[in-house]
Amino acid sequence: MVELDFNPQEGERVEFYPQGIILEVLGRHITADGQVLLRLRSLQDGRLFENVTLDWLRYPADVRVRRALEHILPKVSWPEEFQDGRFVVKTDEMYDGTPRIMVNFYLKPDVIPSVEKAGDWNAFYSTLKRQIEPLVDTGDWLQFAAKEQRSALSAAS
Amino acid sequence: MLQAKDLLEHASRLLIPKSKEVDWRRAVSASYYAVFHLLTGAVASQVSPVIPVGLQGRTRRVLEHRAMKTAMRPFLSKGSFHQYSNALHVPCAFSDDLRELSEAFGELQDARHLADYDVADLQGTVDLSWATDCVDKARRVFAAWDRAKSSEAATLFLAAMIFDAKWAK
Repeated sequence: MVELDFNPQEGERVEFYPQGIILEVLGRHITADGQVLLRLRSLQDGRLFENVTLDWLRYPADVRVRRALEHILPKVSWPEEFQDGRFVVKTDEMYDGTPRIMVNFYLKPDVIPSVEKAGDWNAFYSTLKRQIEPLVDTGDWLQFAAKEQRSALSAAS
Repeated sequence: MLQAKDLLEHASRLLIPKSKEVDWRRAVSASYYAVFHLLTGAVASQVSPVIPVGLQGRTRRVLEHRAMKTAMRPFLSKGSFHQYSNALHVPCAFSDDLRELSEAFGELQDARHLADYDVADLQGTVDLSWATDCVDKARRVFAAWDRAKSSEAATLFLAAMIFDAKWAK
């Protein structure tokens, strides 16, 4: 299992996990006895919180997944059809409202997908998923996909 | 009579390099329904006799898409499965095949919804890669079910497809 350190910096998002509230780190300072205290702003209603300790905080699920992948991916061999080192983690909802963490990889421009290749890619995803799964809450759906350049561009435009 | 594997073969045939968006969408939809009918057939075989003729068919019609996805949730991880089987007092070994199947079912159901209803596709999801991924997932479900179907967990799994919402009583 991947062990992630928790050392949030200014501009990063954190989660107050007893209630699932997402906050932005506006500032941080370290006390004389070495304790980290944060200045936070809720992304839901803009409320400010001063001198918050790290005790009930963690990175949001998508950040945990991204950080875990940054740790894992340099150590595994990628499918040769994927663009090296390129992936995006985002959150959305499935049509029935289930929260989902989506990890997209990007295909090289000349790759023509096939069911056989998709089989290799799904095997790759399974390897990653088993390593990351402990970092994801049971209510979150973790899904991987390979995006073609064409559709990636049209989605961005 | 329509067989689940016929739908899967149909989905595969639609995906050639020069295929179009309509082919990708139909392939995704057929992939999901291949899996859906595979599982509804298995549920009907478990809970209904062959005679009288027609009873198994009626049993299949009882099953609901969203309820099936919900019923599979406990099979998605070891922890949730053990909690579930303990609460039911039906001890079974966790199955990685049923986990793979349940994950794929949820993802295919979501993809099917997009394929059939979201004609605008503002996220740019619909492409050949997406469709081949779904067909492969459906293939994996067939293989996973073939490996898992004789296990005790599979028997519980099929029962959950019908009785899950009632077990809380």
